[in-house]
Amino acid sequence: MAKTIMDIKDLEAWSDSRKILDRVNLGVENKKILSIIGPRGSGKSTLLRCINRLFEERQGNRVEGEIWFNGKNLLSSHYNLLKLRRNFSMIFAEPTTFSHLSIFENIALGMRLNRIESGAHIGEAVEKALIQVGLWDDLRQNLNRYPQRLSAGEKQLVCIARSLCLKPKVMLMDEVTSRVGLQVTLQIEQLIREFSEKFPVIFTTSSRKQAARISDRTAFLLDGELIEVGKTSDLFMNPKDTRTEDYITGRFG
Amino acid sequence: MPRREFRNRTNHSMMLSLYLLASFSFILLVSYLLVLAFHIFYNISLSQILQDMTYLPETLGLVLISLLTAAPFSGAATYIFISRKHTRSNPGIRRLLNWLVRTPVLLIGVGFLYVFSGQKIIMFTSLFFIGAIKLSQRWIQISEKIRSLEIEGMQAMGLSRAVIAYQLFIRRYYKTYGGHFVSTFLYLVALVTPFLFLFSDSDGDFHYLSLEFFFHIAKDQQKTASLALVFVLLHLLRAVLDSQMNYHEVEYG
Repeated sequence: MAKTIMDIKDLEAWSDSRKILDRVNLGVENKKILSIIGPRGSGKSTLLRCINRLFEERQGNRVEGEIWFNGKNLLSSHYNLLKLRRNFSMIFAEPTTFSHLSIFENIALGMRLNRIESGAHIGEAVEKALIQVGLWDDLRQNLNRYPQRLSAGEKQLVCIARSLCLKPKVMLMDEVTSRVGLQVTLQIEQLIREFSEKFPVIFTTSSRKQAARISDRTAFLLDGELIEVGKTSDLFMNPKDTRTEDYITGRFG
Repeated sequence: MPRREFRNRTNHSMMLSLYLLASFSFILLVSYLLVLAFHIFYNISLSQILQDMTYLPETLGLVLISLLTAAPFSGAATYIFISRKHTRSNPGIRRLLNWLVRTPVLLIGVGFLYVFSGQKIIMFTSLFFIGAIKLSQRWIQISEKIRSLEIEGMQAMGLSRAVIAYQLFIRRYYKTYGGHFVSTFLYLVALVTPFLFLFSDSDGDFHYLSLEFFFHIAKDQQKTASLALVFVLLHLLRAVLDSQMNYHEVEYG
Protein backbone atom coordinates (compact mmCIF):
# COMPACT_ATOMS: atom_id res chain seq x y z
CA MET A 1 0.00 0.00 0.00
CA ALA A 2 1.34 3.41 -0.99
CA LYS A 3 2.28 5.87 1.69
CA THR A 4 -0.14 8.73 2.34
CA ILE A 5 1.78 11.92 1.58
CA MET A 6 -0.97 14.44 2.12
CA ASP A 7 -3.84 14.43 4.58
CA ILE A 8 -6.79 16.79 4.21
CA LYS A 9 -8.78 17.11 7.43
CA ASP A 10 -12.16 18.77 7.91
CA LEU A 11 -11.57 21.15 5.05
CA GLU A 12 -14.21 23.80 4.63
CA ALA A 13 -14.19 26.58 2.03
CA TRP A 14 -16.37 29.64 2.13
CA SER A 15 -17.02 32.31 -0.44
CA ASP A 16 -18.57 35.15 1.55
CA SER A 17 -21.45 33.41 3.33
CA ARG A 18 -21.73 30.49 0.92
CA LYS A 19 -20.13 27.22 1.90
CA ILE A 20 -18.43 25.59 -1.10
CA LEU A 21 -16.67 22.70 0.62
CA ASP A 22 -18.14 20.94 3.64
CA ARG A 23 -15.80 19.05 6.00
CA VAL A 24 -13.78 17.24 3.35
CA ASN A 25 -11.48 14.51 4.65
CA LEU A 26 -9.16 13.00 2.08
CA GLY A 27 -5.78 11.29 1.94
CA VAL A 28 -3.45 11.53 -1.05
CA GLU A 29 -1.05 8.66 -1.65
CA ASN A 30 2.46 9.17 -2.94
CA LYS A 31 3.12 8.40 -6.62
CA LYS A 32 -0.54 7.71 -7.33
CA ILE A 33 -3.17 9.38 -9.44
CA LEU A 34 -6.18 10.70 -7.54
CA SER A 35 -9.08 11.89 -9.64
CA ILE A 36 -11.82 14.06 -8.25
CA ILE A 37 -15.10 13.69 -10.04
CA GLY A 38 -18.44 15.39 -9.59
CA PRO A 39 -20.96 17.49 -11.48
CA ARG A 40 -20.36 21.12 -12.35
CA GLY A 41 -20.27 23.33 -9.25
CA SER A 42 -19.58 20.48 -6.84
CA GLY A 43 -16.35 22.07 -5.54
CA LYS A 44 -13.71 20.14 -7.48
CA SER A 45 -11.70 23.17 -8.57
CA THR A 46 -12.14 24.82 -5.18
CA LEU A 47 -10.58 21.78 -3.52
CA LEU A 48 -7.50 22.08 -5.74
CA ARG A 49 -7.33 25.82 -5.16
CA CYS A 50 -7.51 25.26 -1.42
CA ILE A 51 -4.49 22.96 -1.58
CA ASN A 52 -2.23 25.54 -3.23
CA ARG A 53 -4.10 28.36 -1.46
CA LEU A 54 -5.13 30.21 -4.57
CA PHE A 55 -8.70 30.16 -3.30
CA GLU A 56 -7.88 32.56 -0.49
CA GLU A 57 -6.58 35.14 -2.93
CA ARG A 58 -10.01 36.52 -3.62
CA GLN A 59 -11.47 38.83 -1.04
CA GLY A 60 -14.33 37.20 0.84
CA ASN A 61 -13.02 33.67 0.44
CA ARG A 62 -11.82 31.75 3.45
CA VAL A 63 -10.68 28.24 4.23
CA GLU A 64 -10.89 26.27 7.46
CA GLY A 65 -9.46 22.89 8.39
CA GLU A 66 -6.04 21.34 7.92
CA ILE A 67 -3.97 20.05 5.03
CA TRP A 68 -0.95 18.11 6.28
CA PHE A 69 2.00 17.59 3.97
CA ASN A 70 5.38 16.32 5.18
CA GLY A 71 4.40 16.99 8.77
CA LYS A 72 3.40 20.58 8.16
CA ASN A 73 -0.02 22.17 7.88
CA LEU A 74 -0.21 23.94 4.52
CA LEU A 75 -2.99 26.18 5.78
CA SER A 76 -0.86 27.50 8.62
CA SER A 77 -0.19 31.21 8.39
CA HIS A 78 3.52 30.48 8.90
CA TYR A 79 3.77 28.38 5.74
CA ASN A 80 5.66 30.09 2.94
CA LEU A 81 2.92 30.68 0.38
CA LEU A 82 5.21 31.17 -2.61
CA LYS A 83 7.19 28.02 -1.83
CA LEU A 84 3.93 26.13 -1.40
CA ARG A 85 2.74 27.14 -4.87
CA ARG A 86 6.07 26.22 -6.45
CA ASN A 87 5.84 22.76 -4.90
CA PHE A 88 2.18 22.27 -5.77
CA SER A 89 2.22 23.07 -9.44
CA MET A 90 -1.19 23.74 -10.92
CA ILE A 91 -2.46 23.47 -14.48
CA PHE A 92 -5.77 25.12 -15.28
CA ALA A 93 -8.58 24.13 -17.60
CA GLU A 94 -7.83 27.04 -19.88
CA PRO A 95 -4.18 27.27 -20.93
CA THR A 96 -2.50 30.16 -19.13
CA THR A 97 0.17 31.16 -21.60
CA PHE A 98 1.42 34.74 -21.44
CA SER A 99 0.88 36.50 -24.71
CA HIS A 100 3.69 39.04 -24.27
CA LEU A 101 6.33 36.36 -23.76
CA SER A 102 7.82 34.02 -26.35
CA ILE A 103 7.23 30.29 -26.06
CA PHE A 104 10.72 29.88 -24.60
CA GLU A 105 10.17 32.69 -22.07
CA ASN A 106 6.77 31.24 -21.17
CA ILE A 107 8.35 27.94 -20.17
CA ALA A 108 11.45 29.43 -18.57
CA LEU A 109 9.68 32.20 -16.63
CA GLY A 110 8.84 30.34 -13.41
CA MET A 111 12.15 28.53 -13.36
CA ARG A 112 14.14 31.74 -13.89
CA LEU A 113 12.23 33.92 -11.45
CA ASN A 114 12.18 31.24 -8.78
CA ARG A 115 15.92 30.71 -9.38
CA ILE A 116 15.50 27.00 -9.90
CA GLU A 117 17.95 27.09 -12.80
CA SER A 118 20.18 29.77 -14.25
CA GLY A 119 22.23 30.53 -17.34
CA ALA A 120 22.62 27.76 -19.91
CA HIS A 121 20.84 25.29 -17.65
CA ILE A 122 17.58 27.10 -18.35
CA GLY A 123 17.81 26.26 -22.05
CA GLU A 124 18.58 22.65 -21.25
CA ALA A 125 15.65 22.41 -18.82
CA VAL A 126 13.26 23.94 -21.38
CA GLU A 127 14.43 21.44 -24.01
CA LYS A 128 14.05 18.55 -21.58
CA ALA A 129 10.54 19.65 -20.57
CA LEU A 130 9.47 20.08 -24.20
CA ILE A 131 10.83 16.64 -25.08
CA GLN A 132 8.88 15.18 -22.18
CA VAL A 133 5.59 16.72 -23.28
CA GLY A 134 6.27 15.79 -26.90
CA LEU A 135 6.53 19.29 -28.36
CA TRP A 136 10.26 19.61 -28.97
CA ASP A 137 10.24 18.47 -32.59
CA ASP A 138 7.39 20.83 -33.46
CA LEU A 139 8.61 23.87 -31.58
CA ARG A 140 12.40 23.75 -31.56
CA GLN A 141 12.57 26.16 -34.53
CA ASN A 142 9.83 28.40 -33.18
CA LEU A 143 10.78 28.96 -29.58
CA ASN A 144 11.11 32.71 -30.12
CA ARG A 145 7.60 33.00 -31.48
CA TYR A 146 4.64 34.00 -29.39
CA PRO A 147 2.16 31.39 -28.13
CA GLN A 148 -0.84 32.99 -29.85
CA ARG A 149 -0.11 30.87 -32.92
CA LEU A 150 -0.31 27.61 -31.01
CA SER A 151 -3.42 25.46 -30.81
CA ALA A 152 -5.22 25.11 -27.46
CA GLY A 153 -3.71 21.66 -27.01
CA GLU A 154 -0.18 22.89 -27.71
CA LYS A 155 -0.69 25.80 -25.30
CA GLN A 156 -1.79 23.36 -22.61
CA LEU A 157 1.29 21.24 -23.22
CA VAL A 158 3.47 24.37 -22.96
CA CYS A 159 1.83 25.06 -19.57
CA ILE A 160 2.57 21.51 -18.46
CA ALA A 161 6.20 21.90 -19.61
CA ARG A 162 6.40 25.13 -17.60
CA SER A 163 5.10 23.35 -14.50
CA LEU A 164 7.59 20.52 -14.95
CA CYS A 165 10.43 23.03 -14.92
CA LEU A 166 9.39 24.05 -11.41
CA LYS A 167 10.19 20.50 -10.22
CA PRO A 168 6.90 20.09 -8.33
CA LYS A 169 6.29 17.72 -5.45
CA VAL A 170 2.59 17.40 -6.26
CA MET A 171 0.84 18.15 -9.55
CA LEU A 172 -2.65 19.65 -9.44
CA MET A 173 -4.60 19.49 -12.70
CA ASP A 174 -7.96 21.17 -13.04
CA GLU A 175 -9.90 19.67 -15.96
CA VAL A 176 -6.81 20.04 -18.11
CA THR A 177 -8.25 18.13 -21.05
CA SER A 178 -11.62 19.88 -21.17
CA ARG A 179 -10.56 22.30 -23.95
CA VAL A 180 -8.21 20.20 -26.00
CA GLY A 181 -8.69 17.68 -28.79
CA LEU A 182 -8.66 13.91 -28.57
CA GLN A 183 -5.02 13.49 -29.58
CA VAL A 184 -3.73 15.90 -26.94
CA THR A 185 -6.11 14.42 -24.36
CA LEU A 186 -4.51 11.02 -24.85
CA GLN A 187 -1.07 12.65 -24.76
CA ILE A 188 -1.87 14.39 -21.45
CA GLU A 189 -3.29 11.21 -19.96
CA GLN A 190 -0.05 9.42 -20.82
CA LEU A 191 1.90 12.28 -19.23
CA ILE A 192 -0.17 12.00 -16.05
CA ARG A 193 0.75 8.32 -15.85
CA GLU A 194 4.43 9.21 -16.28
CA PHE A 195 4.24 11.95 -13.66
CA SER A 196 2.68 9.58 -11.15
CA GLU A 197 5.91 7.54 -11.19
CA LYS A 198 7.65 10.54 -9.62
CA PHE A 199 5.03 12.41 -7.60
CA PRO A 200 1.30 12.27 -6.83
CA VAL A 201 -1.11 13.80 -9.32
CA ILE A 202 -4.49 15.14 -8.28
CA PHE A 203 -6.74 15.93 -11.18
CA THR A 204 -10.33 16.95 -11.50
CA THR A 205 -12.48 15.85 -14.39
CA SER A 206 -16.08 15.92 -15.45
CA SER A 207 -15.48 12.80 -17.49
CA ARG A 208 -16.23 9.68 -15.50
CA LYS A 209 -14.67 7.53 -18.22
CA GLN A 210 -11.44 9.44 -18.03
CA ALA A 211 -11.28 9.03 -14.25
CA ALA A 212 -11.94 5.31 -14.60
CA ARG A 213 -9.31 5.05 -17.33
CA ILE A 214 -6.30 6.60 -15.67
CA SER A 215 -6.66 7.10 -11.94
CA ASP A 216 -5.64 4.81 -9.10
CA ARG A 217 -8.07 6.34 -6.64
CA THR A 218 -11.21 8.38 -7.20
CA ALA A 219 -13.08 10.79 -4.97
CA PHE A 220 -16.67 11.82 -5.67
CA LEU A 221 -17.76 15.30 -4.65
CA LEU A 222 -21.34 16.52 -4.64
CA ASP A 223 -22.40 20.00 -3.52
CA GLY A 224 -19.14 20.44 -1.66
CA GLU A 225 -19.47 17.19 0.24
CA LEU A 226 -17.10 14.29 -0.24
CA ILE A 227 -19.52 11.44 -0.83
CA GLU A 228 -17.11 8.62 -1.42
CA VAL A 229 -13.43 7.95 -2.00
CA GLY A 230 -11.64 4.71 -2.76
CA LYS A 231 -9.82 2.64 -5.32
CA THR A 232 -11.09 3.57 -8.76
CA SER A 233 -12.12 0.01 -9.60
CA ASP A 234 -14.04 -0.32 -6.32
CA LEU A 235 -15.77 3.02 -6.66
CA PHE A 236 -16.91 2.34 -10.21
CA MET A 237 -17.77 -1.33 -9.80
CA ASN A 238 -19.17 -1.36 -6.26
CA PRO A 239 -20.13 2.15 -5.15
CA LYS A 240 -21.18 2.29 -1.51
CA ASP A 241 -23.39 5.34 -1.79
CA THR A 242 -26.46 5.49 -4.01
CA ARG A 243 -25.58 9.05 -5.04
CA THR A 244 -22.23 7.80 -6.34
CA GLU A 245 -23.97 5.05 -8.23
CA ASP A 246 -26.45 7.49 -9.71
CA TYR A 247 -23.65 9.78 -10.83
CA ILE A 248 -21.38 7.17 -12.38
CA THR A 249 -24.27 5.54 -14.16
CA GLY A 250 -25.27 8.90 -15.60
CA ARG A 251 -28.60 9.39 -13.81
CA PHE A 252 -27.53 12.98 -13.14
CA GLY A 253 -24.60 15.28 -13.92
CA MET B 1 -22.42 31.47 -6.09
CA PRO B 2 -23.53 31.95 -9.68
CA ARG B 3 -20.76 33.14 -11.91
CA ARG B 4 -22.43 36.47 -12.71
CA GLU B 5 -22.98 37.30 -9.06
CA PHE B 6 -19.39 36.37 -8.27
CA ARG B 7 -18.13 38.61 -11.03
CA ASN B 8 -20.41 41.45 -10.01
CA ARG B 9 -19.15 41.38 -6.44
CA THR B 10 -15.49 41.53 -7.40
CA ASN B 11 -16.29 44.17 -9.97
CA HIS B 12 -18.16 46.10 -7.32
CA SER B 13 -15.20 46.26 -4.93
CA MET B 14 -12.92 47.44 -7.72
CA MET B 15 -15.42 50.07 -8.81
CA LEU B 16 -15.87 51.21 -5.23
CA SER B 17 -12.11 51.76 -4.86
CA LEU B 18 -12.05 53.70 -8.10
CA TYR B 19 -15.13 55.65 -7.13
CA LEU B 20 -13.63 56.72 -3.80
CA LEU B 21 -10.38 57.68 -5.48
CA ALA B 22 -12.15 59.59 -8.22
CA SER B 23 -14.47 61.38 -5.77
CA PHE B 24 -11.54 62.44 -3.65
CA SER B 25 -9.63 63.48 -6.73
CA PHE B 26 -12.58 65.40 -8.11
CA ILE B 27 -12.66 67.57 -4.99
CA LEU B 28 -8.96 68.23 -5.48
CA LEU B 29 -9.51 69.10 -9.11
CA VAL B 30 -12.27 71.58 -8.29
CA SER B 31 -10.08 73.20 -5.64
CA TYR B 32 -7.27 73.48 -8.12
CA LEU B 33 -9.51 75.07 -10.73
CA LEU B 34 -10.78 77.56 -8.15
CA VAL B 35 -7.24 78.62 -7.32
CA LEU B 36 -6.49 78.85 -11.01
CA ALA B 37 -9.59 80.94 -11.70
CA PHE B 38 -8.76 83.24 -8.82
CA HIS B 39 -5.34 83.72 -10.30
CA ILE B 40 -6.53 84.30 -13.87
CA PHE B 41 -9.52 86.56 -13.26
CA TYR B 42 -8.16 88.64 -10.40
CA ASN B 43 -4.66 88.80 -11.89
CA ILE B 44 -2.98 87.82 -8.70
CA SER B 45 0.21 85.87 -9.32
CA LEU B 46 0.34 82.36 -8.08
CA SER B 47 3.47 83.04 -6.07
CA GLN B 48 1.52 85.81 -4.35
CA ILE B 49 -1.25 83.36 -3.53
CA LEU B 50 1.30 80.97 -2.17
CA GLN B 51 2.87 83.75 -0.12
CA ASP B 52 -0.51 84.85 1.16
CA MET B 53 -1.15 81.34 2.32
CA THR B 54 1.48 81.80 4.94
CA TYR B 55 -0.82 84.33 6.56
CA LEU B 56 -3.71 81.90 6.58
CA PRO B 57 -4.20 79.55 9.49
CA GLU B 58 -1.45 76.97 9.12
CA THR B 59 -3.73 73.98 8.56
CA LEU B 60 -5.74 75.71 5.84
CA GLY B 61 -2.56 76.79 4.11
CA LEU B 62 -1.25 73.25 4.19
CA VAL B 63 -4.48 71.91 2.78
CA LEU B 64 -4.56 74.44 -0.05
CA ILE B 65 -0.99 73.92 -1.15
CA SER B 66 -1.44 70.17 -0.90
CA LEU B 67 -4.52 70.38 -3.09
CA LEU B 68 -2.59 72.41 -5.61
CA THR B 69 0.18 69.85 -5.77
CA ALA B 70 -2.11 66.86 -5.85
CA ALA B 71 -4.56 68.21 -8.40
CA PRO B 72 -2.95 66.63 -11.46
CA PHE B 73 -3.52 63.20 -9.98
CA SER B 74 -7.19 63.95 -9.95
CA GLY B 75 -7.22 64.32 -13.72
CA ALA B 76 -5.61 60.93 -14.16
CA ALA B 77 -7.81 59.23 -11.58
CA THR B 78 -10.99 60.75 -12.95
CA TYR B 79 -9.96 59.70 -16.41
CA ILE B 80 -9.35 56.13 -15.23
CA PHE B 81 -12.69 56.12 -13.46
CA ILE B 82 -14.67 57.41 -16.42
CA SER B 83 -12.91 55.05 -18.80
CA ARG B 84 -13.52 52.04 -16.60
CA LYS B 85 -17.13 52.83 -15.83
CA HIS B 86 -18.54 53.93 -19.11
CA THR B 87 -16.45 53.14 -22.12
CA ARG B 88 -17.09 49.42 -22.34
CA SER B 89 -20.77 49.96 -22.88
CA ASN B 90 -20.52 53.29 -24.62
CA PRO B 91 -18.07 53.54 -27.52
CA GLY B 92 -19.04 57.19 -28.06
CA ILE B 93 -17.63 58.25 -24.69
CA ARG B 94 -14.56 56.15 -25.35
CA ARG B 95 -13.96 57.93 -28.67
CA LEU B 96 -14.49 61.33 -27.05
CA LEU B 97 -12.10 60.53 -24.20
CA ASN B 98 -9.48 59.16 -26.55
CA TRP B 99 -9.76 62.32 -28.63
CA LEU B 100 -9.51 64.59 -25.59
CA VAL B 101 -6.37 62.93 -24.35
CA ARG B 102 -4.56 63.08 -27.68
CA THR B 103 -1.21 64.74 -27.09
CA PRO B 104 -1.69 67.63 -29.56
CA VAL B 105 -5.05 68.51 -27.99
CA LEU B 106 -3.53 68.49 -24.53
CA LEU B 107 -0.52 70.51 -25.67
CA ILE B 108 -2.78 73.15 -27.23
CA GLY B 109 -4.61 73.31 -23.90
CA VAL B 110 -1.36 73.81 -22.04
CA GLY B 111 -0.21 76.48 -24.50
CA PHE B 112 -3.52 78.28 -24.10
CA LEU B 113 -3.25 78.24 -20.32
CA TYR B 114 0.32 79.48 -20.44
CA VAL B 115 -0.44 82.36 -22.79
CA PHE B 116 -3.51 83.27 -20.80
CA SER B 117 -1.87 83.16 -17.39
CA GLY B 118 1.78 83.80 -18.19
CA GLN B 119 2.82 81.53 -15.38
CA LYS B 120 5.46 78.86 -15.71
CA ILE B 121 3.95 76.93 -12.85
CA ILE B 122 0.67 76.50 -14.70
CA MET B 123 2.48 75.18 -17.72
CA PHE B 124 4.43 72.70 -15.63
CA THR B 125 1.40 71.55 -13.71
CA SER B 126 -0.52 71.08 -16.92
CA LEU B 127 2.36 69.10 -18.34
CA PHE B 128 1.97 66.90 -15.35
CA PHE B 129 -1.65 66.40 -16.34
CA ILE B 130 -0.53 65.23 -19.74
CA GLY B 131 2.06 62.83 -18.39
CA ALA B 132 -0.34 61.38 -15.84
CA ILE B 133 -3.27 61.10 -18.22
CA LYS B 134 -1.30 59.62 -21.12
CA LEU B 135 0.40 57.07 -18.91
CA SER B 136 -2.97 56.24 -17.31
CA GLN B 137 -4.46 55.80 -20.75
CA ARG B 138 -1.75 53.36 -21.70
CA TRP B 139 -2.08 51.60 -18.36
CA ILE B 140 -5.79 51.08 -19.03
CA GLN B 141 -5.09 49.76 -22.50
CA ILE B 142 -2.53 47.34 -21.07
CA SER B 143 -4.63 46.23 -18.12
CA GLU B 144 -7.66 45.58 -20.30
CA LYS B 145 -5.64 43.04 -22.23
CA ILE B 146 -4.53 41.18 -19.14
CA ARG B 147 -6.69 38.21 -18.44
CA SER B 148 -7.34 37.23 -14.85
CA LEU B 149 -6.20 33.75 -15.82
CA GLU B 150 -2.75 35.10 -16.53
CA ILE B 151 -2.56 36.53 -13.03
CA GLU B 152 -3.62 33.18 -11.59
CA GLY B 153 -1.16 31.37 -13.84
CA MET B 154 1.66 33.43 -12.37
CA GLN B 155 0.37 33.06 -8.83
CA ALA B 156 0.30 29.30 -9.33
CA MET B 157 4.01 29.41 -10.18
CA GLY B 158 4.76 30.88 -6.76
CA LEU B 159 5.54 34.39 -7.96
CA SER B 160 5.01 37.32 -5.64
CA ARG B 161 2.52 40.09 -6.39
CA ALA B 162 5.32 42.55 -7.10
CA VAL B 163 6.88 40.20 -9.66
CA ILE B 164 3.49 39.53 -11.25
CA ALA B 165 2.79 43.25 -11.49
CA TYR B 166 6.19 43.80 -13.09
CA GLN B 167 5.76 40.92 -15.53
CA LEU B 168 2.21 41.66 -16.56
CA PHE B 169 2.16 45.45 -16.44
CA ILE B 170 5.68 46.80 -16.94
CA ARG B 171 7.02 44.12 -19.29
CA ARG B 172 3.82 44.14 -21.27
CA TYR B 173 4.01 47.91 -21.46
CA TYR B 174 7.43 47.63 -23.07
CA LYS B 175 6.25 44.87 -25.36
CA THR B 176 3.29 46.97 -26.46
CA TYR B 177 4.93 50.39 -26.54
CA GLY B 178 8.48 49.21 -27.17
CA GLY B 179 8.82 51.51 -30.16
CA HIS B 180 7.48 54.50 -28.24
CA PHE B 181 10.50 55.24 -26.08
CA VAL B 182 10.49 58.94 -26.94
CA SER B 183 6.86 59.51 -25.98
CA THR B 184 7.21 57.45 -22.80
CA PHE B 185 10.28 59.48 -21.90
CA LEU B 186 8.46 62.73 -22.56
CA TYR B 187 5.47 61.65 -20.50
CA LEU B 188 7.75 60.74 -17.63
CA VAL B 189 9.53 64.08 -17.92
CA ALA B 190 6.15 65.79 -17.97
CA LEU B 191 5.24 63.82 -14.88
CA VAL B 192 8.35 64.91 -13.01
CA THR B 193 8.72 68.57 -14.02
CA PRO B 194 5.94 70.01 -11.82
CA PHE B 195 7.75 68.71 -8.80
CA LEU B 196 10.41 71.28 -9.63
CA PHE B 197 8.01 73.92 -8.45
CA LEU B 198 8.42 72.47 -5.01
CA PHE B 199 12.07 73.36 -5.35
CA SER B 200 11.44 76.90 -6.48
CA ASP B 201 11.63 79.99 -4.35
CA SER B 202 8.96 82.66 -4.03
CA ASP B 203 10.14 84.46 -7.20
CA GLY B 204 9.51 81.36 -9.24
CA ASP B 205 13.21 80.74 -9.89
CA PHE B 206 14.26 77.14 -9.85
CA HIS B 207 16.99 75.75 -7.67
CA TYR B 208 18.01 72.57 -9.36
CA LEU B 209 18.00 69.78 -6.88
CA SER B 210 21.02 70.82 -4.81
CA LEU B 211 21.48 69.15 -1.47
CA GLU B 212 21.48 72.50 0.26
CA PHE B 213 18.10 73.33 -1.20
CA PHE B 214 16.79 69.91 -0.30
CA PHE B 215 17.49 70.65 3.36
CA HIS B 216 15.78 73.97 2.91
CA ILE B 217 12.73 72.13 1.57
CA ALA B 218 12.71 69.73 4.48
CA LYS B 219 12.33 72.71 6.79
CA ASP B 220 9.36 73.97 4.81
CA GLN B 221 6.35 72.29 6.31
CA GLN B 222 4.04 73.17 3.47
CA LYS B 223 6.20 71.65 0.79
CA THR B 224 6.93 68.60 2.89
CA ALA B 225 3.21 68.17 3.46
CA SER B 226 2.63 68.43 -0.28
CA LEU B 227 5.13 65.71 -0.96
CA ALA B 228 3.56 63.56 1.72
CA LEU B 229 0.17 63.98 0.09
CA VAL B 230 1.58 62.96 -3.25
CA PHE B 231 2.83 59.76 -1.66
CA VAL B 232 -0.61 59.16 -0.14
CA LEU B 233 -2.16 59.53 -3.57
CA LEU B 234 0.40 57.18 -5.07
CA HIS B 235 -0.60 54.72 -2.38
CA LEU B 236 -4.24 55.12 -3.39
CA LEU B 237 -3.33 54.43 -6.99
CA ARG B 238 -1.53 51.32 -5.85
CA ALA B 239 -4.69 50.26 -4.03
CA VAL B 240 -6.55 50.54 -7.31
CA LEU B 241 -3.89 48.39 -8.94
CA ASP B 242 -4.32 45.84 -6.18
CA SER B 243 -8.06 45.72 -6.67
CA GLN B 244 -7.39 45.15 -10.36
CA MET B 245 -5.12 42.23 -9.44
CA ASN B 246 -7.89 40.73 -7.33
CA TYR B 247 -10.31 40.87 -10.20
CA HIS B 248 -10.83 37.26 -11.08
CA GLU B 249 -13.42 35.94 -13.44
CA VAL B 250 -12.66 32.42 -12.48
CA GLU B 251 -15.44 29.96 -12.57
CA TYR B 252 -15.29 27.59 -9.66
CA GLY B 253 -16.49 24.09 -10.37
